[in-house]
Amino acid sequence: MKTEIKLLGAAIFAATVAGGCAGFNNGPAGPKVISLWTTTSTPDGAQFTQADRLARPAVNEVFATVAGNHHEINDLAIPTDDHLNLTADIEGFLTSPCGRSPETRAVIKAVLVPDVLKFDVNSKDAAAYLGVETGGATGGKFGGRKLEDDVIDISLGIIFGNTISALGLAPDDGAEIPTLLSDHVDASGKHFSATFPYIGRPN
Amino acid sequence: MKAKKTILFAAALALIGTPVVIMHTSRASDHADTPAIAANPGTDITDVYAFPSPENANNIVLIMNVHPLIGPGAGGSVSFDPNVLYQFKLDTNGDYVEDKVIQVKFSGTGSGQTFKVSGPIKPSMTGARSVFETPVAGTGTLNTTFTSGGMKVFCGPREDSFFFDLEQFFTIFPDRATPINGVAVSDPNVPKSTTWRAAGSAVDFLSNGGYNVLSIVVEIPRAKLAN
Repeated sequence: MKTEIKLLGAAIFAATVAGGCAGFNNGPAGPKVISLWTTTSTPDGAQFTQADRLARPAVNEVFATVAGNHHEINDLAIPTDDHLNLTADIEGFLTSPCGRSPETRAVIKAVLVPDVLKFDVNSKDAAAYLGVETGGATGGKFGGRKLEDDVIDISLGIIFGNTISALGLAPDDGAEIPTLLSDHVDASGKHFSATFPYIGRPN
Repeated sequence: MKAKKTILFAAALALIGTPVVIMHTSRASDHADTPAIAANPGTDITDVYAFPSPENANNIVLIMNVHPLIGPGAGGSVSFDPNVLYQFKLDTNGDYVEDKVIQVKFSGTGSGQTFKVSGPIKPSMTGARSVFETPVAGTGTLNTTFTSGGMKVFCGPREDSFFFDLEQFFTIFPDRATPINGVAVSDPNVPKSTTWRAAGSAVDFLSNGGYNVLSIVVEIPRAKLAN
């Protein structure tokens, strides 16, 4: 019973932090979470039909197998569909190979579904990938994603590491795989700029 | 990184260079999981960013990168797909349905390519189907910063901003390379290696190859998104 309550609490906390406060605004300076995703669409008569969709990095790419066409299903889906296919993809991957506990799986699903990039448009704090979802634990409460963010290592910490238990969102399930926590690649090869448009000139 | 990026996979697998990979690379085009996107890299979104402007604390920067693996020196010869509608979709009330969109639509090809920007505007359709919304906020040209209503837009080739040891990722999960090498993996989520490469051996595939993407960069006042 205690475990269930804790699980429920963690899931609710994560879901609230992740999205429930999106429409909640304490005033002009209060938090205002906006969810962003991008699409490309191709002509279909006078309209356009979605061909690709992307928000958070390394979600569909890591969790969804090519086998069974799971990538494409998620590419063509809209965020309100993510509780179907994407949730199943994440649940399956976290169960095996990851061996995560039900509590940890519930929190990760609550954080990553639906697949949108969240940012607090009123926050003057630093941008940091998953910063909204983790209350700033990844480096800043603005959230979103900045060019320098090592999104792969952040993701690896959540998927294979103890990021979730360290945040107190679920008990430590002992499933950490230390050899998978960093790809050991950083942004040192990039030429980001402090001036618009911020991404380096083409090579 | 999009696992379906056929071109990216081909180059990565060629670099990995194992006999098995080389043997299967030529079968790639027969086995792409999304042939339409493989044939139209202009639809392939590689990365999305959102961060406060380093130049103006009242502004937010939104970036979408598309068209992976433009080689070094080739940026000037690749332009956006004029058939494709590029969109940033924004949910402002927490129901995960877009309340505002910023759309970009290109005309022509090559370095003289022009584009129209629409938004931020409440879309007349939501979901997987869209129309190009009017009125158009303004018209710009590739590689030239365009300003309208406080919104600043840049479209053009840039250095690929993503960094990742893609080759080792494919070693760990070869299923993710299936679209290019044609090798179906019956146990797609069983890791074939249990470790990343060490710090001295890991390679950022994209920087190492000097690869570029096409970027759409929008800088917009916070107030235009918050309200």
